[in-house]
Amino acid sequence: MPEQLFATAEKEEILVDYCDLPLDVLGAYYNAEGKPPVILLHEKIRHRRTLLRCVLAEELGHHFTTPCDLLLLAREKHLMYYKYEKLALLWAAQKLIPPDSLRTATQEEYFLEHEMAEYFDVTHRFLHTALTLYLQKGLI
Amino acid sequence: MVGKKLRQLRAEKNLKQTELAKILNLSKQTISAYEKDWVTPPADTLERIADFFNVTVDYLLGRSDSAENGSIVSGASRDFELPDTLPAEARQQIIDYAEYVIEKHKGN
Repeated sequence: MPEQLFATAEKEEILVDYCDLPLDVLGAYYNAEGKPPVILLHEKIRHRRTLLRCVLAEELGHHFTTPCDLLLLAREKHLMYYKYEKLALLWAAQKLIPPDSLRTATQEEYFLEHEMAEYFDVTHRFLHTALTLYLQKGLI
Repeated sequence: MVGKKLRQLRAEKNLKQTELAKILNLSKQTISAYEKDWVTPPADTLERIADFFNVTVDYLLGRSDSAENGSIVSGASRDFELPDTLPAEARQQIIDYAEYVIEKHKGN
């Protein structure tokens, strides 16, 4: 349910709005000193609940884990850019696919990848990225 | 910049340069050179130092309180893989949208 994530955003006093983001950007997080943080979501994902959920979780991940301007780091091809992107994704993954639930679910039943994505209500890509991160971190 | 922070963190932990060198698998001379700011540690070493002292690399680099222009911007793409560099115009467009949202919110 994206609703829970929207509630988290509200609690954190983040402004959330939809707009036509440039290129293939589906979500963006903005935090300037002295101003409320903003999460922008692409208009085209407004009704795609599963994708919306994944994108919003990733942006919330940045709110909780990123200390600096990532797009500037990206431009400099800064090593930390990759670290912060990973941290935000890991936050999102743990929110949407808690490793404990994942272990329990896979113990009880054999899941095909698409069934697992459906079970956790995430996109295939998101699931794939999350599982890769978990394996790297030894969480599963 | 790193030197001063590193010295402070080491002092807080009551570690000698030789002790920290051992922990980080570096020589005492290397630690000393970092602390004097003769050389900046490479990225992987910065990460290890940050992890050991439980701080961010940005803190070590002296930019933890703000980025260049004090804003955090990040974008997510469909595949949740690391996006390539966004062109400066796209970044500016995102900032403009966000500023617009903030203005709109103020008006309410």
